[in-house]
Amino acid sequence: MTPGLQLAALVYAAVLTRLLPMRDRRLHLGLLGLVLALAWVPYPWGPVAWLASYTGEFSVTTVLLACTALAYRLGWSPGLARSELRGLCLLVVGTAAVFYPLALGAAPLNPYEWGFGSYGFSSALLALGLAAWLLRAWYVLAMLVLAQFGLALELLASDNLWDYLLDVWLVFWAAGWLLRDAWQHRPGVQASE
Amino acid sequence: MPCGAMLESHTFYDGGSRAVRRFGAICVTGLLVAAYFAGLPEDADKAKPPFVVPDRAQSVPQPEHRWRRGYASDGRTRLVHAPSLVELADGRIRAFWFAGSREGASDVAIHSSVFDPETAQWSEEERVLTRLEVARGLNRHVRKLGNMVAVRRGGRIDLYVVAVSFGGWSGSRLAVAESRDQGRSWQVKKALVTSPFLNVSTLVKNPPVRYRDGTIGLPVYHELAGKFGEFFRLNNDHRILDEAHIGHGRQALQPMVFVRDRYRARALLRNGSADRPGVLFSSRTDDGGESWSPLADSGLPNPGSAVSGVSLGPEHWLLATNNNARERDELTLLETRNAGKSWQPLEVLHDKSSFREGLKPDAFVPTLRASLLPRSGLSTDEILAGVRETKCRGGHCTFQFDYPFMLRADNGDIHVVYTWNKTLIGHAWWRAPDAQERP
Repeated sequence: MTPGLQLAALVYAAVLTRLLPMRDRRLHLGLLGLVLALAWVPYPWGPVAWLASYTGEFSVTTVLLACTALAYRLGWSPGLARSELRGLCLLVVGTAAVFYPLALGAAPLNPYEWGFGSYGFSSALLALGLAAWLLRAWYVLAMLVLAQFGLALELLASDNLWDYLLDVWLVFWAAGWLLRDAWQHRPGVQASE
Repeated sequence: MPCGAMLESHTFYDGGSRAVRRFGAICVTGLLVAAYFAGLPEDADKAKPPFVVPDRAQSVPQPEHRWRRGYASDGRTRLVHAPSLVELADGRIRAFWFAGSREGASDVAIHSSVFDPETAQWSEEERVLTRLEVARGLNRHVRKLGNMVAVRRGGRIDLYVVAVSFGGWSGSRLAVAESRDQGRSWQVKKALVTSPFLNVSTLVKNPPVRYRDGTIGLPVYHELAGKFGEFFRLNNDHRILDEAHIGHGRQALQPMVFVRDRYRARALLRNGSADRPGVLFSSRTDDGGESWSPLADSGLPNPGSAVSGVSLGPEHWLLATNNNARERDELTLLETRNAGKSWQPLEVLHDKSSFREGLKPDAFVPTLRASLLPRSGLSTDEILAGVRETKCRGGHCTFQFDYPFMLRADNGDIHVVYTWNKTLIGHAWWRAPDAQERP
């Protein structure tokens, strides 16, 4: 078994700490510990295993963002600027808008097959990583590096690099974040960065 | 100092220390390059392996030859469907199918029986893999089980089985189970991740082809947003090495792949198109399955039902198919000796097309009873009641012979199993002559 369920538990914990009306850091830490512990309880007794049956595993990018959110809740500041998060969300949503229709058979081109091992795809990610470095987009850089190491370490059940970079929930969240961001920055409204 | 902290340091941004900046750059470049190689599989630079080309059969069935008939299942479960076959190490044939109270019910499990060609008898039907066993093996909820395909790999048998956690068949994923005792007991190993969209909607129907390096090419299909074939190459550890689509959009599914030579193969696909109904689709690869040509009309009819086949040589294939554009009420074996350019009928396994408009139950049941073959443990009345319940609607009953699966055994025998009116697993067997019997 891969540690995909434990990684998923991190995401569930991040969502729970966001949804539950708790401000105490110790409660957040306790909740994180509880969810991580429940991830070790096997099906049919473990609620994390049940939940993962419906959500599937999460990409390394989602786990990275979940860890960032948890770090904020627990009082640390990982230093993710709003502008950088906006860039990351735009990259995720823009890529997904092309990737998913093609991977689900909308046209003869199938980008999902590149994720099983392709020099062209890995070279494109290397170029993207260099661009992220030059633009000081550290989270994009971390996302690319961790996803590729995650594949090598078989952190998820998937053998496809795309599944380490993207997942459907991440795309929905990123699209929602961008909509909220656009609403908050609509003309006439001054929002803090 | 960690690279990230160094990059963020004021020294770096102020351009004060070139050494620090250089070290930071080396760190990031090193990480990116290491990630680049980490993201590539070990065999990324290897050329695609060639297919194992089927050898020419010593003897082949002729139209005048007799096919022996029987049933692999015993009729005790109300619904049976989607059989597949694997040859065991000792030459016996094991059949698998899913069975339960109705399609998609939670009591549906994988059932099996074994055919001994020495005695020409099927063993008793047994339940070999349940929904809960698959769920526990995957550590995920599984709502229902579906189609399966078994593959012998050395002393092990692998079973690729459709498992659904939520929704209908479009919520399917493939679970892999292994057996080291000839298919009697199974250990569920993993779920294959075959789709980026919640890993849903991949199903299996037909047997894999083999590569010279020991990997297999598993034809599967997708039916969520689209309906198209897919072809995955898997190694011995069930790791997916390559993937390719066979067609796109909403046109065709359930590919059956015939190998022609080291790198060429042809896939025949069930029709799933609303725009071009009634034809069996075809696609070809010239590069070992790395890419497939756009779908074309194979020249054969298809009522939107599964086909299966076996190779008797590189361009000599048999195909089990509903050889009409409308219904599943006949099942025919076709033969080609020129890689599908032309096909000839070899054997009609069933033909109830004269009753296509439907029979009233009081005429249907005697017709059915007359065609039912004997099998030990088979309760005729129970079977007839089951078929009547499944195949009679609004006072009209129809026949259904579908979902064939073919196997060519090592001794040259050819087996066909198929769903018989959703109530039994039909079996047709052509026995290859022994060496001394051959002309």
